[in-house]
Amino acid sequence: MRLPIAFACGLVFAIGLGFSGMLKPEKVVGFLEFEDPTLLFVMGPAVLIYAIAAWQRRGPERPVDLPLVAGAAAFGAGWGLTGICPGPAIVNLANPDPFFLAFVAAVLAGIGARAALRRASI
Amino acid sequence: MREDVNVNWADIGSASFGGILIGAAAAALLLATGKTAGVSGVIEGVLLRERGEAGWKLTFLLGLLAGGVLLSLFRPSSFTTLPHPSIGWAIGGGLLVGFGTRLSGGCTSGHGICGLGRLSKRSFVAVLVFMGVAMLVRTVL
Repeated sequence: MRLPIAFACGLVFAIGLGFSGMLKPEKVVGFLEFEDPTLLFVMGPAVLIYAIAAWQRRGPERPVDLPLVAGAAAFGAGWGLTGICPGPAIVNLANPDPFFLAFVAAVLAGIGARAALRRASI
Repeated sequence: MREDVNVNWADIGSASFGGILIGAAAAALLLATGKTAGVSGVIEGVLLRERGEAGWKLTFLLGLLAGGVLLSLFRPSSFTTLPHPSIGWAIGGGLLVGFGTRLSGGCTSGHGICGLGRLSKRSFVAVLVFMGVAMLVRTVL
């Protein structure tokens, strides 16, 4: 049952991204440049609904550490440069577009680099 | 807000509907499988062929792609029509996004939606940092 559920959730997630406008890098960039508040109206309901589902599912948490902050900073830099994050990048692959293909290939390389560092226990 | 800010309320209505779908999809995955709909972690699981995880993660990715195909058939306005910058930006940005999201353990979905929804302190810090840095990058560019 898990596989069809995951497929359906991915599909609805992608449709939601389409309606949200966030498949378009210019919408994200508009938010980051304080010109377009739309992203807040996407995250608000999404976080609220998830919070209801995740109620009482909070477990013990690791403390905030350097990898968390450094990784978020690197992600923020890439997100700011392009206006693209992983979810919209994947959904955009539905159209043949060398820009998004190159982006996703680079994301895979970045993930692979992180995994290689972890194996070297860095 | 600049003077050229022009809030389009119809856009905001459809954006909120999109947010509801995104939240509902992530919530359904959590309730039905106990899994977190964080796209960077999903991609990693498939790439590294994580034991016991790669299967649902691959089907989740296929669902994202299928959703993209439906959008391009029935709601093509979901996609950008603007010209892209040169491909070098995609490569540089993608490397930072791939490396950074896995170093910090999440992206806009994993930290931004699921983590915040779980009231995770780590995700709260991650979101502040990645949004702050992204805004800084935009003001410098």
